[in-house]
Amino acid sequence: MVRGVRLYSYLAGVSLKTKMAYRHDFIFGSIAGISSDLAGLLFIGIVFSNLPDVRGWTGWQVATIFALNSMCGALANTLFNGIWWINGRAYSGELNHFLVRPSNPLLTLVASKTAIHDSGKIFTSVAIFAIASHQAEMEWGVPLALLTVALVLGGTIIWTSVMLATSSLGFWTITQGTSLVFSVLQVGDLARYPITIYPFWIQALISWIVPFSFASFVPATIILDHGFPPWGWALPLMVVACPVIAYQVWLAGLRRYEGPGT
Amino acid sequence: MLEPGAVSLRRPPALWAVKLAKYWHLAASSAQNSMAYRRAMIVNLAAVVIRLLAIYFLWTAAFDERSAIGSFRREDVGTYLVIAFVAAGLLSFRTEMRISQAIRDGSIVMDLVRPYNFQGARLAQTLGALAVEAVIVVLVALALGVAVMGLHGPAGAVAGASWAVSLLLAMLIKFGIAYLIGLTAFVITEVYFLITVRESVAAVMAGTMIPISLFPDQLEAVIRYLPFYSTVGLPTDIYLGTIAGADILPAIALQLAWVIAVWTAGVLLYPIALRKVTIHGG
Repeated sequence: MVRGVRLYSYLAGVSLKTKMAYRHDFIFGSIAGISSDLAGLLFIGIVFSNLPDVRGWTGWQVATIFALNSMCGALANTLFNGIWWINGRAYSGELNHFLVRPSNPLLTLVASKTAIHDSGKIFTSVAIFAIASHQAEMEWGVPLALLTVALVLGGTIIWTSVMLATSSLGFWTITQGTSLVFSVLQVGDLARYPITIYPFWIQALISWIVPFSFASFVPATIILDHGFPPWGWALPLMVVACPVIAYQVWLAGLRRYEGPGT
Repeated sequence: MLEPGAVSLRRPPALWAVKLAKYWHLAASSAQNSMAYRRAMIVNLAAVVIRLLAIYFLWTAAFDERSAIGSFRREDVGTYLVIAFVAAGLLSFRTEMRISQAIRDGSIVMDLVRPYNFQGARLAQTLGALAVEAVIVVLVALALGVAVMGLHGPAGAVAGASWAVSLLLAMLIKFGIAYLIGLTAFVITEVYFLITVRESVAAVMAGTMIPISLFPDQLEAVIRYLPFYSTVGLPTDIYLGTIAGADILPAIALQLAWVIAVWTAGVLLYPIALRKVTIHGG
């Protein structure tokens, strides 16, 4: 475990250095991440400038959900960006490099790319969360702060699991692109609003199939003490089950992998 | 480094028909190329549809206890979002990326030695891909609109006809913006991010998710004249009759002005951008 963490930080550091060589990319990337967050927030702001609330949720409460969703997504993307490229690397055969290294292939694969451009998004989402939760009149204290950190970590684990499971599906559909991961992560956009606005099937989709609501909506109901759903108790279970299932999908895919034959 | 002058020397003395034919072939081959990548296109479109649904249900919930928010009426919500989706979904991300990719991977060198106008060739290719996209986007929009979102027809025959014209102009503006962003690939490496920024700005300012009439007044007054609104919100407002009668012509004139502006900007910036080309590798 300790060796794993050390190896991860070393490898991530190396890939970070290669990224830093392209400073413009970092700057543009940060601006891109920040601008997409601000656009989402502006949208919420304009909607709620015309309305007091939607199904009992005020604008600032919705912004809190939005910020948690963005934060978990950005953390997962930044720390574990290598997951995105499983598909493309299985396609090109580059995956072989990772299989012959004397360590867990998933670990080295995950650390092989870092998306520092999403780090801008981490900062903006934390800022939005701070402002929104303040405006939503939360009583901050040490226990609540610790709880919030735990919930964000849990949410990051859920996002990472979804990324891993989807990207591993690439072993079955071998293609060059990352469009499947991209599209599934777009489903995460649904979880930036209170999920009670959706018909049942969408609620079920984003809670039990790609369980993004456990990274945004459920934590927000706990932190804001507003509208906690009874099924929300499944949160700890999801935080444990999701990575286990995702890892199994990855292993199953890996068993299927034959290399490109070159 | 290639001299642009050398390219024009090789241009054959051509008839208009011959000239048009080569662009036609470009468009046709680009359409075929898009057909080959239709799965990627559909997967990408699925992402857009998901976002559309999220916004639709948010609005539906917002209309729980009211029949109108400002001038936005409950019965128009689905139609507004579907028609805006058509304008926003056409000329997609992939088409936009392709212009810059050719510059990045160096295949642009083949374009530079060929006897056609670079910008015109990109337009032909974009229109070709657009034709394939249009079929898919319209089918999806109709299915979603009729089955889920209560799509209704345009406000009248004039509105319908003006909408078609306005949508075409919107596509030309979108192409112009995409082309300008594509040209930046001569200077920066990750155009992808620039496109993301453009998408974020456009998502709000173009009126894809929310009619700009709901914006604070000062903001609305500015946004109305920016190119983004002309690409999505304006044709949609014409379709719904929010812009009607004597207001239609000035609106379309504004779009036309933007078409000319972005095209001219492309013409002016191309030689400057071209000076930056250094194709790596032998």
